[in-house]
Amino acid sequence: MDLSWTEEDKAFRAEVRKYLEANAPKDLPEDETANFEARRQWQKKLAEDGWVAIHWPEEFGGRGASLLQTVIYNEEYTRARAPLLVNSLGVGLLGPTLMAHGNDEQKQRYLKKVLSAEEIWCQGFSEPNAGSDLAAIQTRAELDGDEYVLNGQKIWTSYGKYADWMFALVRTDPSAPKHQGISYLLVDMHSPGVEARPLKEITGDSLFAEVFFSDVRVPKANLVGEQNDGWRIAMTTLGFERGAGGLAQSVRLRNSVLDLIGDAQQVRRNGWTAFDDPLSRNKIGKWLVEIEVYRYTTLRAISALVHGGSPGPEASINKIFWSEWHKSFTEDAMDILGPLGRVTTDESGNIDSQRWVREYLFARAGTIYAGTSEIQRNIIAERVLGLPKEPRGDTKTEKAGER
Amino acid sequence: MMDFRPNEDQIQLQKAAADFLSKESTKEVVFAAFDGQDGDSPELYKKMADLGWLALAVPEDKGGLGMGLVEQAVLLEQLGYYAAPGAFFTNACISIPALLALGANDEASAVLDGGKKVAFVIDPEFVIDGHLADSFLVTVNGRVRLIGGSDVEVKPLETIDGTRRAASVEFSEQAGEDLGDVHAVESVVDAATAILCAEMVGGMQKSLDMVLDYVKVRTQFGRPIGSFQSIKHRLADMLLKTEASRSAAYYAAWANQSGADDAALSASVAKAYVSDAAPWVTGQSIQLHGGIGFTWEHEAHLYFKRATMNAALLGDVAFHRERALTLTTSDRSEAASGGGGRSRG
Repeated sequence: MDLSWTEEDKAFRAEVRKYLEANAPKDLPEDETANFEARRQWQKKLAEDGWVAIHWPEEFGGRGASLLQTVIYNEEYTRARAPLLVNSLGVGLLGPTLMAHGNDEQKQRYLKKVLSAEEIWCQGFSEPNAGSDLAAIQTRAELDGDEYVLNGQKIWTSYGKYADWMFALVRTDPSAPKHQGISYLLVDMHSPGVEARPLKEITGDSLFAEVFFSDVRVPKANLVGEQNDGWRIAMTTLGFERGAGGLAQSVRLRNSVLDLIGDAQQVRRNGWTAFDDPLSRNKIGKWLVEIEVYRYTTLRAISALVHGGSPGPEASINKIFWSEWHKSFTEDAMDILGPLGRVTTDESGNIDSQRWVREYLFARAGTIYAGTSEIQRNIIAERVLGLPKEPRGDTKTEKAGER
Repeated sequence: MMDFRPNEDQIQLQKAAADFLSKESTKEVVFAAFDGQDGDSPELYKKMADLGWLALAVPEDKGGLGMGLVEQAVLLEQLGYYAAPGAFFTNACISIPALLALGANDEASAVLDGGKKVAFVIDPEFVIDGHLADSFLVTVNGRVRLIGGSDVEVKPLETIDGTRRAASVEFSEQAGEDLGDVHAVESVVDAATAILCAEMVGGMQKSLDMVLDYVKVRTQFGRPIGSFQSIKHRLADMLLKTEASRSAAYYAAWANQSGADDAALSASVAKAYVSDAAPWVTGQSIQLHGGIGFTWEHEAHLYFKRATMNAALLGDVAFHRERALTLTTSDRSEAASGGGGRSRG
């Protein structure tokens, strides 16, 4: 056991930090569309300087960076509070999938424009009747000559209204067992018959969309891998990204605690500041402690990955930890900030209460998306602890198919 | 090079410790100590001393095996797993390194060969293992003194954990010998705090293992109870808290061993987290075993009681949360010993 960084690691960290300090935009526009465009420009700049997806091979625009360097980069990126990548789904999920399973034409055609954010990607996995049970997807793709004809609906599609492309799971063989009749397809969102309708979330924002397909024609060349092999393709590329992102997530969440410490000093309650109140201090101390423990667990997971292990079902522990942490932390933040923490008009005194209300509400999504906490606990219990499965109602299934 | 995995030597140590303790710290030995006069097992203590375990992390030139805190954590995790009774932790992890830090090498060597026991006094009203000690390290006006047992009035205290008892002590502030400034032992206390967390992890792991075995074979409503989601989800949470505690304990052991900037913070982080998690995990073991888990003869309560005891030692949850917050928000040197007016004892 040795948790020290090498001199090389330290030098790389310093290089990243210097670049981000000099270049990361500080104040982005509030307006949603303007904000999106500003972030698109930022990603373009990053790509020109070779600082997006540094772990990708050089031929696709990366630096061929090691996993550990990628972890350091992600951590520094978050520490600098640089804006979220506007094409994060393309960079994080589509790119690795294409590199692992796409053909040469697909790699040449798509990857560079993923990095430069010239083409924005969304993910077409979830459907109204396929949430936790993702393999229950019903969107149908029927081959007609050299084209698939798509009919169906996707939902909870982040960036759906901005996206130029969608990577989608579609059913190509309805007669096969449910995991075996699925294909991985790239869909041009500007095709006739595609309609993206924004959904309004409990935050009042519209980060998600519903996407409807009516006889949408998709060239057969847009199939990734083999027809009916889409489930395996979708599953194999999720783990690496989760592993490399954990440390950055710990920095992001710790930043929230530091922000709360700042705001708690601005709020007066019971004759002293919220930060001086022993009960509040106990709560803030708790969340500092737990996010630090989360950091240690991510270091342990990264160490396993670096030394040849796979993230495996242990990634589920990571997901539960940070998402449940975030939900409970924001609950305490609201308690600590009191009535002023609930104000949603622009002028709310010394604290950014709009932000706390949004974070409090948005944290409710974390335990739902990318596999609910309940599904993650099933995965841990069955695949790590080896407990028996519950009887199932879908007898056609040959193996567990939860996300 | 970033590597959280135990190395080959650490794996061998873990195996050797598990092998020894599975034979020597059996359920019978632990229950006998629990029900006995003083909660101790002198035979077990003697054997561990003979193996050199008391001196595991002592430098070779001071008569030890020259290993580090991470190895000590590996060993103590196994002692926790087998609920080993007696004063091993306090002597190996606090008194010996404290005596060495104060330059009392002769006193230290008398302890590390198993001949003598020393208790480290934080709060005179509750001195862990004080009833078994031959002499006492006490702090008077910022100075550490070593006082022989004959100069100390010792009143044994039975505790919730029959295998980890205590004493209240009274002594004259002029008694004994001045060994040096208390600052010399502050890092010792942080290191011991990390190691105590490793011991607690051992108890959590044992509780989890016992429950896992049980829910796979216990059948109700025609199914193993481990197939019910309510049980599975509880076990998933037990695993999460156990593994997170393990990460925290070993991170803190490493940080204190290597003198990292966050050594003090990591010890408080680990103790605050594990002191919360260990009673919960070991308590869930009682719950999931059902009625049998509430009986004296089942081991589940041993681990619950040990976790409850340990949670209050070397600073409780509230103390270490406050200290973590203080270390994060104010100047390190001022904050290192602080707990916002809370007491570690």
